[in-house]
Amino acid sequence: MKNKHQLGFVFRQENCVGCQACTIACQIHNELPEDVRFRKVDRFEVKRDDDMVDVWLSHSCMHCGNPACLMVCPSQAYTIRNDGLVVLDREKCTGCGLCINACPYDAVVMLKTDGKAAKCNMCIELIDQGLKPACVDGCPVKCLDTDRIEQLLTQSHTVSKEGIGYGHCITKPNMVIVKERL
Amino acid sequence: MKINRRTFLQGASATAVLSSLSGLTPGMANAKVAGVNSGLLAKRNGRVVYHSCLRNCAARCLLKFRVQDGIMTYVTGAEEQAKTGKAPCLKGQSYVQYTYAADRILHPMERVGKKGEGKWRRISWEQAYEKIAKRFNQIVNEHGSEAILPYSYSGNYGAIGMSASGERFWNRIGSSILERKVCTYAAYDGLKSLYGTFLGPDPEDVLLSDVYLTWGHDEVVSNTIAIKLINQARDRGTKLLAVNPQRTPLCSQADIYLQPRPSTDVQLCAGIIKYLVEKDLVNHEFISEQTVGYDELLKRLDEISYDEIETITGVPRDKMFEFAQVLGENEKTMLRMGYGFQRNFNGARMSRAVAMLQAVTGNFGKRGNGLIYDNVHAGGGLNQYQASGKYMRKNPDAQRINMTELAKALHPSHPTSHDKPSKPIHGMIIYNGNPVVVAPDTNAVLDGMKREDLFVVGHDMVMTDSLQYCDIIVPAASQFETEDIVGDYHGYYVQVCQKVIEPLGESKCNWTFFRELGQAMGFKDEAFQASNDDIIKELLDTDSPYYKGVNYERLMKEKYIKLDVPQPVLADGKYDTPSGKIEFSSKLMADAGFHPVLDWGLPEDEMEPRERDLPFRLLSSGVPQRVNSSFYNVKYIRAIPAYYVKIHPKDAQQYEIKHNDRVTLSNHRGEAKFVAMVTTGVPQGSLMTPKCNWLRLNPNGTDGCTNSLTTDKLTDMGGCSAYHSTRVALAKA
Repeated sequence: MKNKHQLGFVFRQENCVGCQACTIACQIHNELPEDVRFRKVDRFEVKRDDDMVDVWLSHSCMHCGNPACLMVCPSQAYTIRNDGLVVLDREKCTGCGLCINACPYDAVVMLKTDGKAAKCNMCIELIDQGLKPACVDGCPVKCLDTDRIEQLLTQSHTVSKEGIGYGHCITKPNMVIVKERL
Repeated sequence: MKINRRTFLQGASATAVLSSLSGLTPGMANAKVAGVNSGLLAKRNGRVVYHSCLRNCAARCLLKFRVQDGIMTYVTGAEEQAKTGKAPCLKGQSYVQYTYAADRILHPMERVGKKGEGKWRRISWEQAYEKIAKRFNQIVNEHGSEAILPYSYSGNYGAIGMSASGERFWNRIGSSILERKVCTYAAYDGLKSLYGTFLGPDPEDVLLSDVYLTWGHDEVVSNTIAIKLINQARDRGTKLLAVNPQRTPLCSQADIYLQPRPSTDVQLCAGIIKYLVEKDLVNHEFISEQTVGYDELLKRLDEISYDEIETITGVPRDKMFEFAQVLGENEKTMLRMGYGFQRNFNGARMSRAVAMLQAVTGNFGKRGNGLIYDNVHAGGGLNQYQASGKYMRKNPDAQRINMTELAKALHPSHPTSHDKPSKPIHGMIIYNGNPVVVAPDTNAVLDGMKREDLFVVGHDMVMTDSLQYCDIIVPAASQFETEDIVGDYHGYYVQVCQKVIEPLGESKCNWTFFRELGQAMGFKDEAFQASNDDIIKELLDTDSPYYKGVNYERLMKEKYIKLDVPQPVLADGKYDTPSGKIEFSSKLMADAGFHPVLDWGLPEDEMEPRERDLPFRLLSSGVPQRVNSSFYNVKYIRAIPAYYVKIHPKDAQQYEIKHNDRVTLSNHRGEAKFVAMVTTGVPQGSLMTPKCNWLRLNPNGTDGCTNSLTTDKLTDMGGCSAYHSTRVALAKA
């Protein structure tokens, strides 16, 4: 059943310039070690009409409806909140690494500092105050946002779960792609 | 005991600063309730201070800092200013990391080993001032004041930090005059030859444009925040056209993108104009009222065929026609021309040709059209004559050294400047700059920097490649550790830089350093007693009409002021040219030895055979994650690669180079190793590598960097740097 409160990232891929400000904003807010990135930006070189162009995909945890990390975790460290956010209780994590292998989006990392898993939680300490996560506030071209995505999907024909480097998956990822231009 | 840099960083001040910062860094380990870590919010509290970013970028973001117990804890864009918005670029967002970088220099030091050896001894500021003053006075007595040269540019773009602070000292001492012409000067002449100015319209008027044309510019590298507005315009129907040999992100997103071979812009413009003339898409009324020489332009266009244009530029003609059609069909085009593409031996000629597109289509004088290049209304309107102490200079005819020719001026046996013998330089202060990796021809610069008879003082925040070759190093405070103001060179804003924190360790801001050094030299002038606030007031005491109604109190209160620049620019149809009109045929160009209308000359025509015969043109462009040589040491940012070379897949195939292979670029100036990035983002026959990367941080070998390869020959006009007119050989390392 679909969660009408489901929060997800809303990514206007056609406007992303690959600058990685989102990555850095996330690292700074979450005070991450330098080699740990919850959010990454990938470049794809694709053909459009007769020309090659660059397209970027900014991605982190997809806060899946059917999260692989949660399924495989033997310690029940993962839970889904009412707003659909998949959160990790690091006190329960034993560092077995199963979630890291299970996640199809490469969203979970092992922190060398304590040998436990870590991932994007959409900056819930900000979300719970009615604010936006660090990556969204850190995007200088405003191509990243968060919203209740089921409502977006029903209301707007320019929103879908299809983009360059992103598409449907059995884990039911909850990022949507906005496409206003061709 | 030998004291190296590491020992210094264990000093008390450094430890105090770093540990108090880490006190706010509970990190992931402190998470309590199911993933919630409210400790992460602590850094967002505290006193608010407004301070504008002073990197050399057209954006000029107004930043909002949070300060707790004297520690800078957090930075965002100041939303109050719509131009900046909540998010500056990633560099702006990393200013806490930049300021508290673990490798900040916090004490003065004196060289104890050979130049470049990296052996230092800690000294006090008093000792530093005494030694510098003694040596400078000695140099002035023995060789004259012109034997001393400043080297600085845009590491700090503050009106005080960049200009007034150092210039007071240089004007008073009567040093050689450094021509800081690395950036924009070729196009100044090119644009003036056509329409008499390089000042342009309000960039915020892009919302009124039918077409936004980006030419030789990468908005992501310089001015990321402007893309917000461009996107907003696109959502309202504005078309995006792009021309650039290197496929920038906006090129990828453009409605039509042309990827010419580097420096073939004159031919490309000729092709576009030819089409506009043939299809009668030119603006006849505008041409007859506001231009002269149109018949000569038509004649010149007859002298080049589409076949030739296609062969030279590599742009398929159908694509060029499609592009020209959009330009011709739409009423208002705003053209944004970059600074990079004019850094070529034909830079002035190319920029003239590009501007000609706006002239034939009548794209001047209305809101939403025009050409944006260097809008220095705000920056240029400040009273730098007074603030920089120009009245103190007793030798206004002192020798002038173009900073691009630094290696030539420092030559061990035959110093030259502007192709003539110059007086030898015996003393230098490096600040706001990193000449070893920023000036072209790194190896030649190093030959000069290694001279034992050259006394060099370095004032910087971190141990750059250039500081390694200094005799005395003094620690610079960051821009955030002092007060300043700044005038925009893109929008029309003047903005504050209010002091965020006290200087770290024993570091001193630019003006404190030069003021105290002046005092140590025995300068009794009033100019060397002034505070930063005094200088800010002098800067704002200006005759510039744009500054009407702007004063110190208002600026400090409002934090940013958009100057009153009459719009639309050039609305009266009067141009600052000999004829008073736009000149399709220019005597200025003819007098410089070029064709008065459009000159077909290419950089290769002016290269020595040993360079011309090399297989690749080398573009060394800016990248979004650095500004010139800054940010190479900054946490998070430094992890993003800046030592790669873009290679077209067909070239890579021919050289059997694969993605991520290590490759060597070389020419007669030197060689440098990079990691291959195979991409169609550059045209076949051209390579691109990030500019101004450091020598000692190159993970592929510390004996070469981008500028080990680049030319120090100047542009056709304006005396600008011409980095991109460089050719190289490519090999697998």
